[in-house]
Amino acid sequence: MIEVITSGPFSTIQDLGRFGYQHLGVPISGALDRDALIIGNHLLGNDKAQSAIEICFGGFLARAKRPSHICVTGSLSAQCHITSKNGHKTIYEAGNIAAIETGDMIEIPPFGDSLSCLLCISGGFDVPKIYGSCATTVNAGLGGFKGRILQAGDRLAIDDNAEGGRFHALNHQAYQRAMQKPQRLRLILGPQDFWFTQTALETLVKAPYQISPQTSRMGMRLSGAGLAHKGPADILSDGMVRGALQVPADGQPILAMADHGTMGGYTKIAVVIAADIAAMGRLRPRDEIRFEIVTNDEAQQALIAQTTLLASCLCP
Amino acid sequence: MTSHHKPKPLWLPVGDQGLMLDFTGFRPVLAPDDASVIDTALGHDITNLAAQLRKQDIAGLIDIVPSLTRLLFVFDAMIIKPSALRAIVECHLGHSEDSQPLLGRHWRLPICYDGDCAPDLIEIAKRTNLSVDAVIEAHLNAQLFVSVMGFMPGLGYMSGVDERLSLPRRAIPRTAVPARSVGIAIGQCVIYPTTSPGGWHLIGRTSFPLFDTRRDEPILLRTGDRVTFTRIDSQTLAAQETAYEAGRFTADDILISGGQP
Repeated sequence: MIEVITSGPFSTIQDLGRFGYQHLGVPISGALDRDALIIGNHLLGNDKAQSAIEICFGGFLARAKRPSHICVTGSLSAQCHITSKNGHKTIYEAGNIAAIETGDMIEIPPFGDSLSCLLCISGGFDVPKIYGSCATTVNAGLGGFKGRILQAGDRLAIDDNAEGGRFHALNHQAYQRAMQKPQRLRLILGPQDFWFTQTALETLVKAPYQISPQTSRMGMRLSGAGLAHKGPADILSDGMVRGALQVPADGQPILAMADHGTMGGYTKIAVVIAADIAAMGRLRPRDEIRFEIVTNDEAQQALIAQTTLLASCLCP
Repeated sequence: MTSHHKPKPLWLPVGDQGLMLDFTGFRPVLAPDDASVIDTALGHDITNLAAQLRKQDIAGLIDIVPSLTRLLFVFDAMIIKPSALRAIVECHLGHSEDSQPLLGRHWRLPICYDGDCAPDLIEIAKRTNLSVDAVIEAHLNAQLFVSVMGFMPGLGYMSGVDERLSLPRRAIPRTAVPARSVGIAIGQCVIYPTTSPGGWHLIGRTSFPLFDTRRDEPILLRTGDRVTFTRIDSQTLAAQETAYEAGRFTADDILISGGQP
């Protein structure tokens, strides 16, 4: 068990998400940076979908209530400071496994590059699975630890049954490349691109957009050049995916993130390709991002390249 | 699909891991669909097709998400090619099983139209050229039908709203709509189960939670259910909220007919 002393601004239990229930209105959720979760779990010998603490911005402090092994992944600048009962402090860089003893303090200081890091633990956290997943959907009060962000005093049990995995080494060079923050996101136009003016389609790739502070795990609001519709902005709500770029009537796009609703009613001009979804989750408020339109074939090549890079991080 | 839906469905790209099957007839130039497109029979057929395909366990297919006019497929592009998925789905389009009629339940939900519960009521009245009382009356008199579930757990898209109340969504969505808020837009009505962002015009608030994981059945509404509203004042709203928490206000109190699943 670990006990939360300081939660930081937005820390939640996440795994890879809750699939197959969107027709009931149940969102997928899961880690913003899926690749970081997969790597962290692999290093600890966990199942890749095991739950971890997603810590946005850092500032997290907890006390270990029993020995275990932990690992921080995601943000390249995130560190894990372990302070033993006798006051000895050891600093672990992201991607390195730390052994923790009963009474150790675990600190993730604020970090500056990526939005979030994942605090993975050997065996994962023992929280109830709802619709097959431990992921927290804060807007629905669903999953994770009591359906909410973590708070001081929360005691998180470690899943004893899932423990015993063999640790793996990390290919640090590949990891540095795999965890980069994106300068641009690649898009495939559609499903409602034909409801936008030609100028809007050109504007989309011309200038960078800034991530607005009004951003959540549900959606990332962007500010920049407005995207004009040919007519009204509304459609009858239809199915949504993470990475969908919705445009309400004010012309300022919103990127659907991990906790996106299962349906949305604004026209979707384009969708971020699968290879860039994990990287998209690393963007922070006030970052700038450019868009680039690619073809389906280019998206497939990018996905193969991304999958290969992820695999090369994980030494067998 | 049944034969009375003439337009041939069209495939739209949704990134490289999604495909959308559009049944609207797809007017390609200026076709933001509006309330006039709402066809509950079509929505019902799409829901049935989704259920039928879900039973097929198609390898690499992650999710099938029906809406009133479109069906979204989410797949793992490393496992199944979009062309293969399209071919499989198209095999099922012509040979749909007989649609089972939806045997919905009928709920009577309390609604408060006062003060903070209805922040957009005056604006709705202005934009529809109706008096506030006329807006309330039109909303109260509607017999609503849950045509599809989605967005957040427990949220049902309800058709049957008085067409005088049809408005587009708000241009700038709110970042936080209070739980149990009742919203209207494009000829439909929704109730936000939990506090969440939202772009609908808020006309009132109900006292009964649409989603609560403490209940045996966390989600109240199902596709095919009917909903009518009954007006309460803000004191009754508060009293019913308290009664709910104390276990003295339950689904049985708002169920009019059709109790069995």
